[in-house]
Amino acid sequence: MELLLKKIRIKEDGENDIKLTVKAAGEKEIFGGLFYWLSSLAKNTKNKKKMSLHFTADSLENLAVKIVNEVIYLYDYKKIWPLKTKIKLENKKNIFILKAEINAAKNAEIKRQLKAASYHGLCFKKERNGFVLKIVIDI
Amino acid sequence: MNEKDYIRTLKFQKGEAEIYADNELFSSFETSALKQLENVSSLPNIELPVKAMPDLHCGYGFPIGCVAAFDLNKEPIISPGGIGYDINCGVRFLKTDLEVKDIKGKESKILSELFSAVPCGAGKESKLKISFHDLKKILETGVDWVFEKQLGDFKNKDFLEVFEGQYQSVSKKALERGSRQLGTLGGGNHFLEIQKVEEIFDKEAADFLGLRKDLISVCIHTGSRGLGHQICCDWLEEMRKDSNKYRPPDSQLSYAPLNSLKGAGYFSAMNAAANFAAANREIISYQTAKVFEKIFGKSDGFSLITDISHNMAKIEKIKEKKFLIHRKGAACSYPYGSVSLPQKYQTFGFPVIVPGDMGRYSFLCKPLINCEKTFYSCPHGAGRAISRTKALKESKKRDIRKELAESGVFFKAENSDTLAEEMPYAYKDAQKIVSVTENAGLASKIAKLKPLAVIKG
Repeated sequence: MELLLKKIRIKEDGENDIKLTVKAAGEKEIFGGLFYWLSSLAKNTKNKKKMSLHFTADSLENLAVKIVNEVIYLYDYKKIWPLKTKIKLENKKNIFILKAEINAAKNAEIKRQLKAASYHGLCFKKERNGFVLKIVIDI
Repeated sequence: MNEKDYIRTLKFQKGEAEIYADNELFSSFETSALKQLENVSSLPNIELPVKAMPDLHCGYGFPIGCVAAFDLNKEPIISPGGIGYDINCGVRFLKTDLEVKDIKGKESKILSELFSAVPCGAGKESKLKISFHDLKKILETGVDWVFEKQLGDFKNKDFLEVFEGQYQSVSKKALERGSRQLGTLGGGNHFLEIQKVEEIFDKEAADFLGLRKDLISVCIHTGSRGLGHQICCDWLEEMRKDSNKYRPPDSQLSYAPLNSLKGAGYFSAMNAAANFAAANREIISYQTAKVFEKIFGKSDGFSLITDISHNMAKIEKIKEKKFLIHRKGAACSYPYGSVSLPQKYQTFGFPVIVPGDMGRYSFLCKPLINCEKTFYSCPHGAGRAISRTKALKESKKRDIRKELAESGVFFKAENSDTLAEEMPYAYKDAQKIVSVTENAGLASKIAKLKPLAVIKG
């Protein structure tokens, strides 16, 4: 699967799992792309709920793992799935803080069960034309 | 060829691995899986060589199909990556007293009833409403809680293990995820399969187990669901904080000494998840028996033949030495005279099942004494032959449902993509895996089992 947004490119591949690649001009846009990909898995989006989530991590790649794992937890326990997300990303002395204002689906259904974001092959790096995030998700 | 032709040793810079494979399987192993094997063999205080099963493939940290043992007297370590996210994921095999002729024409009804009795797929919640109090008891007493609540078949008790888990080592998030998933199958490659005994290879062993040609059997593959995944995530994150101290070769291989606070904490949480998984399989097989009772008027012929974990770390004694054995995608395989076995299996060994894909066959095997060489382990399945993505593309050119129907397999899944991703030939041929296992003297075939009806997530 490949999603092409205006400034973000998302590619999904995988053997037993999902190997997700997000490319974008900036770090914040990478996370925008990650949330966009997550929202693309939603099936039932009738009931909505607004919520705020805060994440902190010591690196941008770990931040990505935390976000995916939190979304998985929220779905397993509360059947909530993010639809539209506004994000703010800060770097305070190499502690990365992401604040997300989420418009989420309640009693959501999703197209595919995600089980956990792994550290396998995890990377967040700067490339010539922007940034790239690679993350492998167990399904 | 003798058994040595199926075992090869790979020497790495720091460690070495013993690989159980013929030339064809060995050449199919990904370089990344061999690199992961090398990483595992470099872990501190590991017993060398590390063992690799014929279904070896790339995993997270540890490859899948890997067995790593640590001598309890040599400062053993424990790594969540050596167990996997789905703690105590395993396969259960039961026989019925029905034959193919008894279920002919009723396959669709059985599937529909099972699909309704056993929630499967993304977001499908348990029909059991369990309190946190009960959940904590499940984490500490596993299948005993299930029998106490009469949600399982008490005659299975002797065949099932209760692990020494403590709920205090399990996070609130893990409890929350587990509270809604007991008695559910899950998604991915998990399945509930109605099979027939297609061929008997060892009549004496089959007679002992009460199996005969055309008998209907049931195979269930599932584990500790979101609870196990959350425990793995939580403790992996904890152990990664010590990466600067221990410097694991791969983040997913983070570890802690077993006797440290983190090592002991994870071991206890892992055992708690193992109890949850064991309870989960017991409840699902009880629900399956009830479906058979509803349709056929009886379920007394339902009996458990085996329930084998393939994602666990366990303390076991081999040749008077105690080891902490990590099995990641490798089945526990106990021949007679190995570990303490249920009364029925003391002179037989604990049967092992090697599942194949839903279009072909699985094998029931008897572990042999050579299993000592692999720290009492056997392959746990066939491993993918093609990626999910490739399977999805290929399925567009084929009518998989029709192909399955033509080969006599009924199928029902929650997610329409599952059929494509899990289609026949997406996995390697289980026959090849079992053939190496047999030729290497690890186990011998008892019976070949053909799928008749399959439900998946």
